[in-house]
Amino acid sequence: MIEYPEEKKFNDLIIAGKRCLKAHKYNNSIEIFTELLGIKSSYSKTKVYGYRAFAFYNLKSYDKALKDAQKTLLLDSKNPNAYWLTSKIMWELCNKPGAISVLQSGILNSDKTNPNYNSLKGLLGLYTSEMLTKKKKLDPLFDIPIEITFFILEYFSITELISLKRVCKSWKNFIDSSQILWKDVTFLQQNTSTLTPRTFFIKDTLNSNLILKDHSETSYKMSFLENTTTNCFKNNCYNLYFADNFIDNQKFFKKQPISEKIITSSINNASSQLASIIIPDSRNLGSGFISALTKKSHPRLSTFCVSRLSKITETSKILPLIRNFLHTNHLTKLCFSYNSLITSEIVYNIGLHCTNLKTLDLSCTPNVDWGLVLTQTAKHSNKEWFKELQELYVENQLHNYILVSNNMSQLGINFKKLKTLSLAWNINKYRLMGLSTFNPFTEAEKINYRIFELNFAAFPNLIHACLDGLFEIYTPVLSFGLTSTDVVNSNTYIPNFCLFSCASSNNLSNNFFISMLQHSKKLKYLNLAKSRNIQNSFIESILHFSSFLTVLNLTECVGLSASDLNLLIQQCSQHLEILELASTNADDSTQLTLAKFMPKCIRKINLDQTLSTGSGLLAISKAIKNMYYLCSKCNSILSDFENYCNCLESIQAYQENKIKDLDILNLESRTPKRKFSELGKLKVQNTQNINNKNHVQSSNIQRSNITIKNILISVKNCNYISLEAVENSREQLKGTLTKILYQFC
Amino acid sequence: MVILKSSENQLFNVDRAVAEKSVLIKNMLEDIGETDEPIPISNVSGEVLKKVIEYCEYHKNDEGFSNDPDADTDIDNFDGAASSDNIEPWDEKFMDLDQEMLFELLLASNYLNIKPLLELGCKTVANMMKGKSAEEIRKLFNIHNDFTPEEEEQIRKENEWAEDQ
Repeated sequence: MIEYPEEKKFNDLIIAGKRCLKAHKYNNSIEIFTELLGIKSSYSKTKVYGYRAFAFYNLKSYDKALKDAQKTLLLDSKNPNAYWLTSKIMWELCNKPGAISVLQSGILNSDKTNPNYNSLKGLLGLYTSEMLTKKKKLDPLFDIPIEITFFILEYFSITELISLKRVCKSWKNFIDSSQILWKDVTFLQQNTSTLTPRTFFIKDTLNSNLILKDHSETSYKMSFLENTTTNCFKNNCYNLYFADNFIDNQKFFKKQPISEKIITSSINNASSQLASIIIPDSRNLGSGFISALTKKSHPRLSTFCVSRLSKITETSKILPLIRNFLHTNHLTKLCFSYNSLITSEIVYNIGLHCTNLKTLDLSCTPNVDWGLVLTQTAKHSNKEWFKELQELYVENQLHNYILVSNNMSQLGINFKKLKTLSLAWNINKYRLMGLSTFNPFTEAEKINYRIFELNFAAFPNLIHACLDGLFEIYTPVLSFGLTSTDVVNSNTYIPNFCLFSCASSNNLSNNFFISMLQHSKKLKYLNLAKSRNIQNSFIESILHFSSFLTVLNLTECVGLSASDLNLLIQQCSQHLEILELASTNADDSTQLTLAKFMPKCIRKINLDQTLSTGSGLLAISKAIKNMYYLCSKCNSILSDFENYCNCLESIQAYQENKIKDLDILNLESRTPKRKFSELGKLKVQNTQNINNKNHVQSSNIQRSNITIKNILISVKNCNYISLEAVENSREQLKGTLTKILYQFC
Repeated sequence: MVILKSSENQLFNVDRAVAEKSVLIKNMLEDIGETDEPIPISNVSGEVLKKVIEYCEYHKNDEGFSNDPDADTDIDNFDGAASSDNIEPWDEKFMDLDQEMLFELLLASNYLNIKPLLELGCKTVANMMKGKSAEEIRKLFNIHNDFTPEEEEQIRKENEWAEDQ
């Protein structure tokens, strides 16, 4: 028998294999191609893999087919046939987004002169339309709010839950990370606190907040109680600040708002020198207040913040006041939040006349239609309109999202100096609004923005954005069936964020976050709590802008595995001050990584509801101990961050210890005291221990230099903390300001 | 009578007692008092709202129809799961819906805070998933299997202890 020269044998086999393919004898052709691949030869095997993939595809062995097809792609990335086949296989494997993205990259990368190139486009069109028209199927773990998911999973026994972990990676991660499923079925009742508005957090963090608190530049500060006599500030009163009624999230209605009489008499006494009025809860104020204000002129009045002015029910009553403002043009800060009297026309006129306005808070003003305001402005194209505005808060407002939509750029309106924008949406909205005299439900949707494309083009200098809850399932935006792919396209202008907060956005995709943040190289604050679609590819991109990150909140980001989190900590923990990893897949290895790469300035680590045994915790407390000494040597670094990212819990802890002279966190301007017990619901079996700890801690604070901040680790709901770890960490932490909260189940 | 308005402005006249099966609406009505204005339920489409009303109408005289969180909790069986196989025949027929509608109904009952309907919906979804293999569940919800065979083997090993029971 004559031996074939290798070249001939190779070619013959290929022809034979192809013949079998044509004759639909796929098994035979697979045999031939497998033999071919075994031959040692210098000839390219690229096509052979492709043929074999095709044979497997026809036999419906999609897994094998995919392997071969991907090999072909790897070897020849210009071949449109390889893309076509890979996409077909992925489609059959139900990986539809994958199939489409393969086609898209094929259209970009493959050889355009190839006769089969156009079939890629045809297939893409077919698949995309099929994706759209196909009856929607939904994922019961990820397409509904988390509380319903838990409710459904309550009906499963442990054994059944474990079998659900086999469905796919995201389900496995979800079930693994939801500790609550494993031991506690009363989750729903306990968890209601997570539904509180998040906007307060961002405001505390920014410190630029709310007008309601910010009056630090004024030297004459006066706050008084209802029973204080008002005579004392006859001549020198520049600022009226009714701090005692600060709204404490939803609890505001339980407090008695200040009476109108007190306020009007102080306004009368304040003479024309009045510089600012700040009244967070104005429910008792009526026309007497308005007339007291309009009786005299207040040429110095620059700050006017009156929230919840609900006693006045007719717009005509408030108009004299507005007219007053429109004529003076001294206002720099204006807050009319929770007010149904403010109309679109008033907002338009304020923008036109109060051209020095720097801060504006119009949260929850249901009669302001920003669509109307902006159309009106665009019509008159006035360059002066809100030209100095730096901060804009339009929270809890129907249709506030028009501000960040494409409609804005089409109208050509620009907020050139705007740095801070908050459009947070509070899902407790109806409760907040229900208290006042107007019926928010009569403010139904007037305009349907069915197509909403996110665009920040109107805010070229925006650096702080809070979109908490805006993409939550109950917001009007999403009720129009918005999918995250619609949100960002290539023409979208995305600013360079320093602060980006987008909590409760579990309807947005991983890619959305990646494209939102790819410009933000100096990101300091990132809050993506409850964004369950974040996956590990997001971690890769987070590493690009990680170098300045000081606050990172990934609570309930169950799409990230422990190793993802570890990588993240390794790479970007350098400047971290606050790290929130509650209800994630973080485990012992995460704690060990944290201990190893402990950030220098860390002030708070939250590992609530994560898996943890003693060893990781022990390592952390050891690491922090060392850090304490380090920190004490570099006070200057710490003090740079003083005005930034104040940790609410540590303030509360200080307050509980009655250390009033500790001024490092500006306690005076903060919210009212909270009970220590609210702080993580401390539950240690031996109450003696708590007392001891408090005692030790407070004496330490008194001894130490006040510029050192305390470090708080809260480890709630741990399953297994070994006793040794508890004892050891307490021992380790003696003499530091560190505090560890344990809660056992 | 109370007028409810769906997201597409479709109006529904319902008895106040029926509307108040929704805790959201009940609180709302308490806050604002009597009103002739339609109450927009702007997150819920007419089709879904109609279903919700149908349910509340049928159950309006139910004794145990309560939104008290402590009431009617099922007695847990031995491994801690609530029981999902106690669905009334009318309810079961009522819940015979396509997936999208079922999920919409879940969202609406959660938003409107109608606990019995939410419970019924959750039970229905749970029953759809129970006793099915991972592959069947993937088919049911169109989920892509992203495990490698090695990973699948790994999970199987990890979970052996549970399957023996």
